[in-house]
Amino acid sequence: LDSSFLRALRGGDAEAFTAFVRAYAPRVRRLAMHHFRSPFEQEDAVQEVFLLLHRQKTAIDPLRPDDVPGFVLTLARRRIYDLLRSKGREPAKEELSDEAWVSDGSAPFEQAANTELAELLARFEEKLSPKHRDYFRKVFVEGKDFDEARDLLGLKALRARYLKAVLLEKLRHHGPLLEYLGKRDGNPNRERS
Amino acid sequence: MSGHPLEDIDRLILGTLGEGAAVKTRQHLAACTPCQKRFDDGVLMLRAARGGLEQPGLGELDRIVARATAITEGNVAYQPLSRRVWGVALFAAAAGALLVLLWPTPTVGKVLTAGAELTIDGQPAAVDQPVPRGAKVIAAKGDSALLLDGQRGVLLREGAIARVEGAGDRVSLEQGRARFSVKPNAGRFLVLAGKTEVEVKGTVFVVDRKTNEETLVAVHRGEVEVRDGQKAVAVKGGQETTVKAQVASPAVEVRPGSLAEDRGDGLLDMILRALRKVLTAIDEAVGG
Repeated sequence: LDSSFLRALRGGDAEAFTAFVRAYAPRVRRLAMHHFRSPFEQEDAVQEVFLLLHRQKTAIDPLRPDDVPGFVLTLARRRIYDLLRSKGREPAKEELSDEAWVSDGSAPFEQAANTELAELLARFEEKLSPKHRDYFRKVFVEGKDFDEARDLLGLKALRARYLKAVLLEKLRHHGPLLEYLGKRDGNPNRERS
Repeated sequence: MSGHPLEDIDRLILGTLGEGAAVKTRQHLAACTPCQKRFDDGVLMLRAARGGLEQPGLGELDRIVARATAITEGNVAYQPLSRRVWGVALFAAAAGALLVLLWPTPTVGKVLTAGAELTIDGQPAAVDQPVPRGAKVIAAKGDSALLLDGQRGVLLREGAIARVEGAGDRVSLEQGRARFSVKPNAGRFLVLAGKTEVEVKGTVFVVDRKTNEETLVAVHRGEVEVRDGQKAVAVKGGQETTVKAQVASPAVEVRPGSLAEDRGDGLLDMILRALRKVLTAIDEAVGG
């Protein structure tokens, strides 16, 4: 985020704003996750934050790029607190630490600390047919681009679409995963959707 | 959950939903608790698959970025509703959702035979599963058959996508090939393939939507009327016609046993052997 980029962003350049969103989306998302439990609410909060940042873009000083992360964090917090108040809720008691705010949050599957989750996912993969397993691993676990995974596995578009829908449905009915999520939200008898 | 846009919710999560439909689905989600729970659960499942619930799931960041960057295009549809209209929208959506809940989508048929991969409205389907009105049926792998209104058999060949409309008396073929078997005197039955219409009262015929611009209709028994928007062409048993660029060719006689359905693959006997069970099931079901 150098001065020329920030000038373009201030001037309303659409490409600059897209790059800005790409750079900050993981951090803003993390902040939203800290205050909202529902992923739907988290995504709406992120959208509201970027809407505010777009409106306030002229407040960015192109000569002080180091101040941008702090500027984004301040506006993001303000907007999220407003949203919480409009829903009659209080912000989380413990604020997100600066370290958590700046960490890239893109740790790959292998680095996942949650061994319980890793184990139950391994059991889920074991139950899949080889074709389903390959696609699940490439796309759902490793996060490969859809088209790249399709080419790698030699699948037709329709077949790939089908696999995505089927694998999501299988995840929705994987008992151990439902139990895990039930424990997380305090509802051990989580219903299968 | 009948009447809720379950397929669109899953497609929104998986990143395969168009922009306009995504906006509508989000508006529905904002006012419908069960659907919002489905969205939340789906996103959490995808996050879990990445190894931790803090991780962005499949397509999650792309969805966030696409939505946020639309702000610069002045696409107000992407922006959340203002508070002023929020209450009204919530009330209207809640009333609509309640109406939908109390007014379930009627069933217009069932699955007779299911191929290796068959979906109805995005969900895997099995034999005897009901087919609701407006359902989108995809035979992704293997052939599958439906029985509509107890009188019309539809064999969806592998790769076919069809939407069942009306009271099971209308099928829109969006892609691929399908064979229809209609009980005599079963009333009006219409097959739509783009702008081409095939109307029938009792017959066995095939519609193959080869491309958006080319549709082939082949009749085994009985008679159908093919309309290309300008004129109607009568096609009798043992005849076929092709509609290209919205113009239907005159019906032509075809050597017995070599209608397009079979000729297309060039393996008549093998195909018929493989399909015999399904075709018999359809014929028994419609009494043909």
